Amino acid sequence: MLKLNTLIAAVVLFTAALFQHQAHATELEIELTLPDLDVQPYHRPYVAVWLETPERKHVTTVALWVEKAEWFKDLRQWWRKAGKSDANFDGVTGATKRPGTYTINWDGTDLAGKAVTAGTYLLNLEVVREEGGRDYTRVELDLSKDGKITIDGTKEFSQSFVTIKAK
Amino acid sequence: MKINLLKSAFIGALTFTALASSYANAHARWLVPSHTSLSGDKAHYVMIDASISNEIFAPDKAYRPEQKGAEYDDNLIMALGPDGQPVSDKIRAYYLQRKNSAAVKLSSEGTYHIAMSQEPRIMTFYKDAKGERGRVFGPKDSKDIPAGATDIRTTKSIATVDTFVSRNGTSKPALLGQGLEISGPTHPNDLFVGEEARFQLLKDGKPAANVELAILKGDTRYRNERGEVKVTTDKDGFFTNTWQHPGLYLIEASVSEDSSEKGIDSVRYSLFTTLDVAPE
Repeated sequence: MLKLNTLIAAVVLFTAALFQHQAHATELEIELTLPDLDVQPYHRPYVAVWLETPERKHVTTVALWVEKAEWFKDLRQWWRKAGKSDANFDGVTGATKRPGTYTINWDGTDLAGKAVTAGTYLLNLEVVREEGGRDYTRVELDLSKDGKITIDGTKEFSQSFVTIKAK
Repeated sequence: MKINLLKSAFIGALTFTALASSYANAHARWLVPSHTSLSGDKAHYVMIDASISNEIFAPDKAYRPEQKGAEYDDNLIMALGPDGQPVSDKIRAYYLQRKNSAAVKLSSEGTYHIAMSQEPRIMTFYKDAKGERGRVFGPKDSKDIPAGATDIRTTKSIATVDTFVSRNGTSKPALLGQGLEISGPTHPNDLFVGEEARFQLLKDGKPAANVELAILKGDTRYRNERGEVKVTTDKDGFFTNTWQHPGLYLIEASVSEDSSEKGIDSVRYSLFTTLDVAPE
């Protein structure tokens, strides 16, 4: 059954890929809030935001806030699904951030600059603080139509929002 | 070589215990890696602790260095690199009374298969002229077997005590090729709570069908129930497990069988594999 689904997905993706060059990519606006935690010591968290297929294959990484490759492994889910691949994350890598609300814009393309086809994906969010906690969540997104999704807050990230702008 | 009971408090006695019983009451042996997944551009070291202990993973007895009185042993622990070859750097395992500790350098990218050096141990059991049972390390013609001994049985014991560590990504782990060991399809350094892992048990590199394994979470000191999960391999040696809790696990198995090897009556295989399971 799984095989059949994968096959169908592959056919759908392939068919979609044929039309990809004509389509305008769906964009995402992610409003992520890192809470002001009253803890000592406080280290700014490592953050990874990435897209996977429903079968949990890495599609593209949208944001990676961590300075050193030595620490990549602490973003455990991102590391296993994306980090340890050969992909180049330079374009999405940035410094860790202070508590606050940040807007992350995704232009609908993967790390190689190719448009990601419309369809259902999993948006993954992982936040890890050295000497602190770790939270990981994933939500389903349909990139083929406009929408707004709320990501429930946890200890390491506050309630956050994803706006889908299909074209 | 005659058995000296004091000395045999180390591997010898444990191997004997293991021979006489199933894994459930044999002494466990295990490795504990300081890390199982590392990232970054520079070469990393991983610390490997080895001990003989039923309290998983609290050390109890160290392995004595081969050279009497030595502080370390360079042949106790071995590692196969991502290229399948034994690493060229010396792995110096220090003798620390209750455990041995060694630093293993990971120069390449990919998965290392780290194990206690495997040397099959031959032991011969007998009944002497008075009917008392005895045993020696060595084959049937060992000179320490008394004249007139009867019921002479020789056993070969092959133990696998191993773990896996990956640096900058995973690669298909090299096989030891001897004894029991687990192989994919699930990668041993990609284990997460709530996910099903599927492994194949191999014996001397071939699928081991219908073997019972015990999957035991570490930190047994801090709970009253050992709570081990028993699984049995299918006809192709495969077994699955869905991890309930994050932590270090010990996978144990043992197989005893008659041997057609000249001078050996039976072979006993045992497996002690340490796996690291991450929280989701």
